[in-house]
Amino acid sequence: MHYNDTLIIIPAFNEEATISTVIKSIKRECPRMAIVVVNDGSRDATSEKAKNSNVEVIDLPFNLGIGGAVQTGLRYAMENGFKKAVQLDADGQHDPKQISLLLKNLEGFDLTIGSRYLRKTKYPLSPLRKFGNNIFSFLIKMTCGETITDSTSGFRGFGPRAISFFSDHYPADFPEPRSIVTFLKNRYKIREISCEMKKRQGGVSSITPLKAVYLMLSIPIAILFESVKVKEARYE
Amino acid sequence: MNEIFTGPVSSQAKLVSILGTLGLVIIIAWLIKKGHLRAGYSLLWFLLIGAMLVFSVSPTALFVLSGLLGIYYPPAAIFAVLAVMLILISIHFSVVITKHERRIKRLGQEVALLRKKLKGKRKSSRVLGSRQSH
Repeated sequence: MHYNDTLIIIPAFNEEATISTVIKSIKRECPRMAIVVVNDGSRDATSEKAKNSNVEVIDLPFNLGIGGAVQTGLRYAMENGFKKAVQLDADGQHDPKQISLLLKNLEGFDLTIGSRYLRKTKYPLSPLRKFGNNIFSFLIKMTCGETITDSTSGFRGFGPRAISFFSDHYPADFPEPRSIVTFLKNRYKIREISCEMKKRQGGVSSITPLKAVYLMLSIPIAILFESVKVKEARYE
Repeated sequence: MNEIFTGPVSSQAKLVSILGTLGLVIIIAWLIKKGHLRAGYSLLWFLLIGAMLVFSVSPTALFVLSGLLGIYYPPAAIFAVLAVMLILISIHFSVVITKHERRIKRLGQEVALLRKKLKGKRKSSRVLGSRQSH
């Protein structure tokens, strides 16, 4: 593929177990694309491993959370003149083969989202997760009138307008669903693409049972607030 | 029954509350002087202390206030006013913290991006330097 204008952004927090493999497989699939790892204040060897894999690494001075890390990558894309960007997890659950899918479908759209739920995929889905996801989808449909089946997916393609918008307006808490709502409210176009995802290949998920309950309660509130926020709202 | 509460406050209680309030004034003035408290925030605290001082010096103010609020037990009015003011101050602090978090996030991002840029510059100038030396 010939995407010299595309940057692959990998936000990474304590992902030393998988980061090298992920970078290797991206390089195999998209040899000409620039890759930047945003090391979100990891306490392990994530940064060193990424540097040894010969990719650009941005080391955040402290942990900003996934939202702040992705935004850093987008600002880097903006400053260095990249027209498109892809966000991909460092834990190996996203298949680099599908990066081209996200990019191809940016034609006519500003943001593409790799969805586990658009069509039936092999992704193992717990009932609680399904329930939560349905609620988020319902709320987005209600507030924005659009159907987004996988609002928490972290596998995304950004067009030039999305890079510019999000480098200034990217929510810090619950960034995935909120960024969708604020993006739709500002009349940008989102397209979902069915993607096969694996369970994380190593490391530990950041979601504990207690945190799951917290997320289930907070995200709906955040979505509702996001939908009534004025344009150009400030972000925390 | 009501007479107990409308009667004059014992001089002992009055003295304690005045001394307490003065103590708070001294603490806040000291914090501002030492630079531990921004003068801007001190207004809030002085308002709170002012209210406390008024009520501790003159029980009449308290009775007027509780009458206005329809509170039968005047001392409860003190707690009501105090609670409202403390809640307002807490909200104010949440707003300030949110603002600071946003700024710190931006700063962190800027530092990381600048450091990246600087490293790139150093690398390219090193390449340039080695070329020139040949």
